[in-house]
Amino acid sequence: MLRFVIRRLIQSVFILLGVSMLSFALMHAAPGGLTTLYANPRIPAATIERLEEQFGLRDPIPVQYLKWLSNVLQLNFGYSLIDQRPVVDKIAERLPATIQLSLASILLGLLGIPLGVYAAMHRGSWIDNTVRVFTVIGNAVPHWWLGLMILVLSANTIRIFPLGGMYTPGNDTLLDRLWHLLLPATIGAMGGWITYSRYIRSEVLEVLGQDFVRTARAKGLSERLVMGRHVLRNALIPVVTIMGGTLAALVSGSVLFESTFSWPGIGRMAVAAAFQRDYPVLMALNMLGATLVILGNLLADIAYGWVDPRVRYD
Amino acid sequence: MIAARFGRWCRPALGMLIALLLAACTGTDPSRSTERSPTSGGAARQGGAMTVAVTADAVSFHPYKTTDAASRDYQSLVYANGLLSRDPHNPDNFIPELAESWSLAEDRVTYTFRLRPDIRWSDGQPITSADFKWTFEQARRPENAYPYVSNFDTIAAYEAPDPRTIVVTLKEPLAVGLENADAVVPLPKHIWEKLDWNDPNRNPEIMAPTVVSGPFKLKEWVRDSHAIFVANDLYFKGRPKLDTYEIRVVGTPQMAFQKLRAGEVDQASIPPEDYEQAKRLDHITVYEWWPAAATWSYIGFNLRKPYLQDVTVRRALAHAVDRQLIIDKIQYGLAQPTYSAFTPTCWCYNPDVPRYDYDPARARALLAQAGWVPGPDNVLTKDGQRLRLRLLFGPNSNKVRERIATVVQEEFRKLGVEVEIQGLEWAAFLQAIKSPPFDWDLVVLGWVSTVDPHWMYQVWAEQNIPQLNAGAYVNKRVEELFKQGAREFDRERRKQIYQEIQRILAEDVPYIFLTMNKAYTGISNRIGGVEVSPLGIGYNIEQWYVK
Repeated sequence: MLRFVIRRLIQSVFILLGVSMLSFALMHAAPGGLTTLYANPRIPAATIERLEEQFGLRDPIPVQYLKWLSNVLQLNFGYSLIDQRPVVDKIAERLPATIQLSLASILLGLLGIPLGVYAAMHRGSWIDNTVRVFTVIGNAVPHWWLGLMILVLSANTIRIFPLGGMYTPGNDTLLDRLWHLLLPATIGAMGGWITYSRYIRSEVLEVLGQDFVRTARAKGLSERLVMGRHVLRNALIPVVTIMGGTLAALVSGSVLFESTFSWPGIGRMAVAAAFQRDYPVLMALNMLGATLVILGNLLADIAYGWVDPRVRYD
Repeated sequence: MIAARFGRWCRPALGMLIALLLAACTGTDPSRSTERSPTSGGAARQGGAMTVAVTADAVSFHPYKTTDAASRDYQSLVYANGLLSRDPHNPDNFIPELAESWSLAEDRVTYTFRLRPDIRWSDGQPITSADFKWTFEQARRPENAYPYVSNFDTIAAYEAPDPRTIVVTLKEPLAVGLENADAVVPLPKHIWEKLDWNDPNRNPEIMAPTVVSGPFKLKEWVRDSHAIFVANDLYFKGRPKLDTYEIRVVGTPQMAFQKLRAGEVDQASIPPEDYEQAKRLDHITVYEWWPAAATWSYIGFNLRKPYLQDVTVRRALAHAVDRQLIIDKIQYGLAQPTYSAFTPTCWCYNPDVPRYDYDPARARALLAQAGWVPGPDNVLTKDGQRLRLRLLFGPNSNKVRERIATVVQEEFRKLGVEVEIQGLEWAAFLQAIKSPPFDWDLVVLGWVSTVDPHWMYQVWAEQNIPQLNAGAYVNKRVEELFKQGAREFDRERRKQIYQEIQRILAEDVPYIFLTMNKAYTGISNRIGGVEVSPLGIGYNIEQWYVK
């Protein structure tokens, strides 16, 4: 197992290097430069040139890349081109908001598991059918749109939910934050409910048909033990692999979702940085995402090997 | 059983959910006033908080590093604007701001300003001419890369002979000299001279100014979430009536309006499609005005293309644009037509310029006159070349420009002109129109005018091709007239000059002038003291109060 992990880590380094080169090249291939300068016609060309010099934007692309890389290896992610603040500060400012929302959504989304189990166990019942219809509709409807509709409806009828924002400025209490988190987290959890309930339902149904389940029942085990010890343990294996992606999902906020709920998260910042061509911020975000995807998949693979004794790594 | 296990923790979870909902229903948003006053009446009283929804957060509080509107708005809350400001009810005239009086010497280049006697920074230190001079000298340094440093080009000398006097000498007599001489927003020298001008990591004042001169002081700024400002007791126009001014950053303009509607905020801009609805609401007032610094849109021609160099062709195409349709259907009636390089809200406006009203028959006739005849597939051709035009607009998310482009394409198609539309992302769009090979024919764009007409010379100058003069229009007579207008002190004669400029530009048709936008915003009726003017509503923010 250890050799497996080490081999994967070494591979990750090369993958990250490749991702960084590709991202850098793509970013600079996009037409247009720092829009804050170019969009403003009153700025003389000399000033723009001087600022580009300062930001190192006039060097050839490979040189810029190598400078960036050498900085990153010293753990210096550079400064934003827009306001000259350290990139790390800017990301650290916005990351907690996104993580809070994502974590709440993911945790609430885990409710999909019992939902799927229940649906599988009562196959054909009205609950099962409701769950299946709900998952199809829920998959078809964009979640940020649903959130927007609920907000607008709520604004015009009974004002239950706050119209966006993370907390009420001046009243930053836990209850206030939870109240603001409620709607976005619930809508965000819908993804989890849909995915997990469908996977679990089909997995449980498949396992329930297996011989060893019949054996367990024949042995006289209680239904509870059959479900808990035999069925669920086998049904949850694919879920582990799905969860490999959740680590990266934790930090990648959806810009549409965050815009609808005025959530000051990473998604909005990333899109704004893209439009403004804030290269240092974009590279840092890309590398963060790539690292987490790789790490998440590695952890999922390790967990898979631990959960399923038939799987062996060397 | 799983069901039983489910049921066991289901109840406490449900209980918590209900508790949260109850808390939400019964709890009130403490940032709103709990008193709901009637819409009329209520004397101007001290105290209270006002909340504003905006869709863009500022970049920083540094007046000499930022160029975006949101940063300017935040800065104008904490820094006084300078020596003078424009009279909101007569924007061509100046009124005292930090300066109480000024005079122009006989030589017409030396401006002497006398500062008000008792103006102070928020830490109690007096605001003196030394602050102005120091700020000017810092902003002027090339290594400080002030984006608008070209504003200083006309200034020969900037002196502070005594703490209350500033003497600015220009290089030549200019009609806009007063505006030029009032060149800087002062920063507190005694604080900033010890700090780095450029680096926010070494100068905390850039992101969180503590010593200010404006109506409010910054209390808290959480990026992309909110910014809270509190009244500055030492503001030279008097402490604002509002105690707190809070800006909330909202994700989309639609949500901003919803917040205004729901009473969560007191001010928000209104998306054009919601304008009618907003006017019908009882608890908000929609303030609207035609701004002196107008936002107007146009279709620009790329005059590098030989087939567009024929003025008859340009005039013909101008006749094919239905401005009223654009105003009614695309801009929801929130605009008026423009036919000139200066808008009706400018003192120099020329109402008698040649107009190209919507007249497709005339358009066809003019094109025929220019030698363009319908070819085999009804597309106009001349000497074997088809009249095929490429129209760019940006950003591609701007629905108004997209629709204008579509309308134009349709109208031109009826004439026999093929138009290919391309919408580009903003940065890509700028690069496309401003760099070789200039592979475009038409562009849908807009300008925000300046109050004084002089500054628009930059748009028509040859040396500003392609930076500002994207279409490569060259007319030395127009440039000469702008130079004359800059030097003409007599208002009537100056007006004549700009009217002549407008006549020439209307005849030459480098642009098809389209419309000028109405400005409007929605404010809750619980806020009083708001008065519209051609300069907007923010000019007297220290007098706004909670009823």
